[in-house]
Amino acid sequence: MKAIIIGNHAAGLSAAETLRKGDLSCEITVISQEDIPPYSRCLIPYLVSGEKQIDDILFKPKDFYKRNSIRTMFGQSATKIFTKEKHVLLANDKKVEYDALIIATGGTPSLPNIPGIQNKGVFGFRTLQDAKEIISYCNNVDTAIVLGGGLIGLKAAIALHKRGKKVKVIVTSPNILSQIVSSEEAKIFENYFTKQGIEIMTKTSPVKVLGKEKVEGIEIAEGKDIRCQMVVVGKGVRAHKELAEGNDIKTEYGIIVDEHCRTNVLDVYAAGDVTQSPDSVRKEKFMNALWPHAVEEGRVAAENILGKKTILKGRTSMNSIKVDDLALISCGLTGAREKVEGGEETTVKGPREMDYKRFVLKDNCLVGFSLVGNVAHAGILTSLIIKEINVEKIKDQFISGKYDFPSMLPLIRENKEKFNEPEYEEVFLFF
Amino acid sequence: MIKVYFDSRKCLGCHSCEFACAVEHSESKDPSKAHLEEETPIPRRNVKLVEGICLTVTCRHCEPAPCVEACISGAMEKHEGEVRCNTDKCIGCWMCVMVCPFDAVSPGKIYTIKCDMCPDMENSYACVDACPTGALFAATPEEFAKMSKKKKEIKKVGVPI
Repeated sequence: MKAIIIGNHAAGLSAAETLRKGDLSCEITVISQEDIPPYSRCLIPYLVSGEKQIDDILFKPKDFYKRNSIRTMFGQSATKIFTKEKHVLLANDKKVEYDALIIATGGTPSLPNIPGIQNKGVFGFRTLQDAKEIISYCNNVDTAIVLGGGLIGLKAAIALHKRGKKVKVIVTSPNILSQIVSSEEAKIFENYFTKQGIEIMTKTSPVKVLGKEKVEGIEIAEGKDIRCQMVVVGKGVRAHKELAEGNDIKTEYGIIVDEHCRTNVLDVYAAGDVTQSPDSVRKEKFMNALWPHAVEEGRVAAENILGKKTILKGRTSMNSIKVDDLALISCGLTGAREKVEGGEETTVKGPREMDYKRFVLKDNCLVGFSLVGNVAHAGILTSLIIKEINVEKIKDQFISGKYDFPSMLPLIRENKEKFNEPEYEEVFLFF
Repeated sequence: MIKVYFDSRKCLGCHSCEFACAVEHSESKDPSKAHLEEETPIPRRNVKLVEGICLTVTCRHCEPAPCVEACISGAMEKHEGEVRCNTDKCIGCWMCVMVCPFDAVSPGKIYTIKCDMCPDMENSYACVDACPTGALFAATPEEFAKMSKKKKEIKKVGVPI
């Protein structure tokens, strides 16, 4: 069998690994625009801060593909998919045939559409190329402005701050992390950043990047121009789905896939940040551009190609961020991105100043939570959300902070049919 | 592949496994010195009472493992079925903490703390060795499956064991 994987990151790599593990004779080809062994894009901040070097962020040994007899077409881009003829056309007009195709082309940073955004000194914050360019441009930079107060923006801010730059974060929303948590949780982080010397400017809209050729500052709608020599855009990503457009593969915000990671076209699968895939809490196909989901989708797509019929497990939005000692884990609907109709929110503060918990319940099920400060045992709450467990009986218990595995075991046992992974049997058998 | 399983019916709740685990993961590996070390060693398993019965759950080394799939640094890896956290690579992002359904990975000071199947011991495990009643035992998944089948059959005919 001939399998083609377009993309060489979390999803593509996981797919390649799974295919090889399951079928020693399968012909696997990985096509990627980047001409380097797979690295972790999530570690780009560590490269920019100077804490890690390129070799430290490689995800697999350099000879991974060779050792696994996987053909690589690095530094090449696929331009069109012919789903009937079953081949992929490359930019150099070469055709590559497939029996099964996995599109794992990821996402592209969305740049705000303002004048001057093409100036020298404006960077995205996603690829190794971005990191290299930022690092080499950094020397003559005194002040850097980060556009966006989401996870990417904040990670960029921390990295540049660690590199010794003055950093200002411009956020249009009333608070940072506005897609993930409510203003109370965000405030804890804002205070922390301010203490570190990173300036957070909320309710501020950039309207223009100043400077003729090179960046000289940012003009904002709310007041004076802000001077800077570098702008890093951390405003989230959109699906890099162009390859699926213009043929019969169904797309919306991303490439639409089912629980087997199949697109609507036979033998064409998609995985990773490019997909719009089932969300068990929202009950619709949603863009959850997250590392764990990408790896799972890559594996599930590959296993289905191998004929295993695996399905994606329960899943929804989730995130973890840690800045020095300050940690945050959130999952599901926290009320930040969308209002939870009929949701019931409970917040718990303390004991420390940085500790804050929020639980969102709907129809007696936990649909979302965020933990700031003490994030231990978060995985249990995540499992209650994605398995859609009725938590009415133990609501007060987890609000009081008792949600370690033993405390939750009675509830888990009552819902044995949903906790059906073989590993649970190991716990239940002699209990 | 070997896994450590647990029979609650035999557990006395003596916490010997916890102590042995902490000692094995200490700097000195010496029970008389471990608790005095600068960084107090942390056990990878905890004994707790649930509805009057003792429970000690640690990493189930899941297949597929959510923590391995969630790891953004490549630190969490499978070695012949065992999930291990390479502490040189771990950046302490707690993605694994976010997804572990068994609450078996904990946020440590710098990196994730979880059961590593005692790589410094030869074919034995600190918790199993320390257990005075055999409540903790090492077995292959195949052996466990046989026990599971037997127990279910006994349950069906109603004969207590």
